[in-house]
Parts: sequence; C-alpha cells; structure tokens
Amino acid sequence: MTHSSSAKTAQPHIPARTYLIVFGWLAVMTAIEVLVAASALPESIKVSLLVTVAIIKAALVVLYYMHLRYDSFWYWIILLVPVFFVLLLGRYLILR
Amino acid sequence: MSQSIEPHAVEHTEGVHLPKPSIMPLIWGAGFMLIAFSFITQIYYLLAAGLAVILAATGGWLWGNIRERLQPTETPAVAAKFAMWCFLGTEVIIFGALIGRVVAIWFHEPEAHSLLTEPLASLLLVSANTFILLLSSLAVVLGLNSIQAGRPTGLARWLTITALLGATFVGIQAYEYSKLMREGLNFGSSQFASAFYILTGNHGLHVTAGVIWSLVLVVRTRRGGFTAGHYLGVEIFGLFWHFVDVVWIIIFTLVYLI
Repeated sequence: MTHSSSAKTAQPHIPARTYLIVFGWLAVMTAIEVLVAASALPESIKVSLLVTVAIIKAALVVLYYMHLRYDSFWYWIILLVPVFFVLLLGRYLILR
Repeated sequence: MSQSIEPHAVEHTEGVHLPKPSIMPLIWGAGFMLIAFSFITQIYYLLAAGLAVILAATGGWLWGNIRERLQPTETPAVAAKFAMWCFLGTEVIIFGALIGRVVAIWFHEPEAHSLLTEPLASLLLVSANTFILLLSSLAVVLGLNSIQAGRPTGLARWLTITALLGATFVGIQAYEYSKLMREGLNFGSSQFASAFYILTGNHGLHVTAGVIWSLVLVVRTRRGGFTAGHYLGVEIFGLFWHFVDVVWIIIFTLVYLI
C-alpha cells in the first residue's frame, strides 16, 4: 500500500511542558467562553467571539494533541475534505 | 485479526493486518438502498429483495473471513494511523450533520434551547464537564509522553486517569439528562429535544467506547504490550479520544453557549 509509505507513523517526542502549556490555553479559553456567553455583549459580537475561540481551541487540540503539526500532509487532506463538506452543509442550513 | 494486532506484528510493520478487500460491503449498501427505495415508493416487495441482498452479502462477508482464517494468506498491512484518520474523516461528516441539525432547529425552539444553559448552574455544570474532557485529553498525551520515555507504569496511570475522567463525563451527562427530562425536555417531546439527545447521546457513546478502550490499553500496558519503541496502539487511541474532545469543543460552543 502506498499509504503505508506516504503516511508517517513515527511520532516525535513532544515535551510534556508543551502539552501542559496547550492545556493551560485550552482551560483559559474555556473560561473566556463561559464569561462571554454569560455577558451582556451584543449577540453578533458574542457569536463571533465564541466561534473564533472554539476554532482556536479545536485547532490547538488537532495540531498539538493529535500531532497534526508534526504529521504527514495526507492527514491534513483526510481531515479538511470532510470539514469542507460540513461547512457546505452549514452554509445550506444558515441560508435555509 | 486479533492475532495480527499483537505487539510484535505492529512493531515491525507499523500497521495492522486486515482481511483482504471485499466487495460485500458495497452489496450491503445496495441492499440498504433497495430498502430505503421501497419505503419511499411504497413498493414493498423491494423491501424483501433488499433484505435478501443484505442477508446474502452478510453471508458472503462472513464466509470471506472464515476462508481467511482457514487459509491465511499474505494480506496487506494497512497503516493503522492512516486508517484511523480515514475513520475520523467519516466521523466529521456524521457529527457535522448532527450538530448542524441541532443548530438549525434551535432557532425555531429557543425556549427549549434555553433549558440547556439556564439557570447559570446548568451552564457551569456543562462547563465543568468540558473542563473534565480537556483534562482527560491532557492525561492521554502525558501517557504517550511516558511510554515514549520508556515508562509503562506512567502510561498505565495516565490511561486509568483518562478512563476515570471519561466515566465522570458520562456520569455528569447522565445527571444533566435526568435534570432536563424533569424539566420537560424528553426525547421525542420536540424536534429540538430529539436532535439534542441524538447528538449528545452519540457523543456520549463515543466517550463510553473510549473509556472501555483505554481500560483495555491499561491491561495491555500492564502485560508489557507497549515499550519506548512500540506504542502505536496508544497513538491510535489518542487520535480517537482527542477527536471526541474536539467534537465536544464544537458542541459546547454551538449547542450550549451560543
């Protein structure tokens, strides 16, 4: 299988400190999200802020905990193609 | 199959042994299409035909596996990590559709949606659960870090913590369900309720599967299944667990906070 050769399997040894820093950011951003949700900010600003923070949080987990930052380009493709279709679906639902 | 994912097999090939490609799943799908078609057109003999196709394909699929076991052949070792990413790709579509459905419906049923986050205690409970899941993801990567440094006891400890945190998450979710049901948000009571329970229930099932998987890994670790040079099984589990975490990050924001 070409997949076996093209998709890297060896994992870099990422220091525990990196994982802890990422967790710190995730925890802080979760707290920010809760504060924003409970705040009296205008709805449009609230939604923009919450979605942005959620995307950053998801990206941090995918890049560092799932090691996509250090992994094969193929995994990006596998992840982004379905994400593209989900966004298409989202666009359809919003327009509806 | 079970023999082929033994540590040694994985160590040499960095993949798993899988049965040979089979046409049967495709025939299975065709059977399902016939069944769906029969409901749409209300031509019910197509239903019988669909069931017959599914039954035949199941038999063919099973026979393929039995033949594989009776006469083991050289089959390709597919990179397990690649396979897991492909699986996660399909999961993106499934959860994307389920989340999209909830978000599309709650605009029409804002009062049902408000039950999720009001009073503030409800929001804090879900936030605590989110924090627990994030913490469990940290436990998995610290476990991976331990085994990379050649410390299987550390791995077993972190995986046990992961299982405990995952079980706590599911427990809190069950408590949340009971609270919501007392307040009138029952499965089937509204479109929003159905969509919400299907989405979060599906996610909860994934967490439960992850808890069981991590406990299996704890046993494998204690039996010496992982070493500093061989930990692919932990990595694969990690991908699944972190993905479930990412899905919750999105659910938490789009379903609960907005």
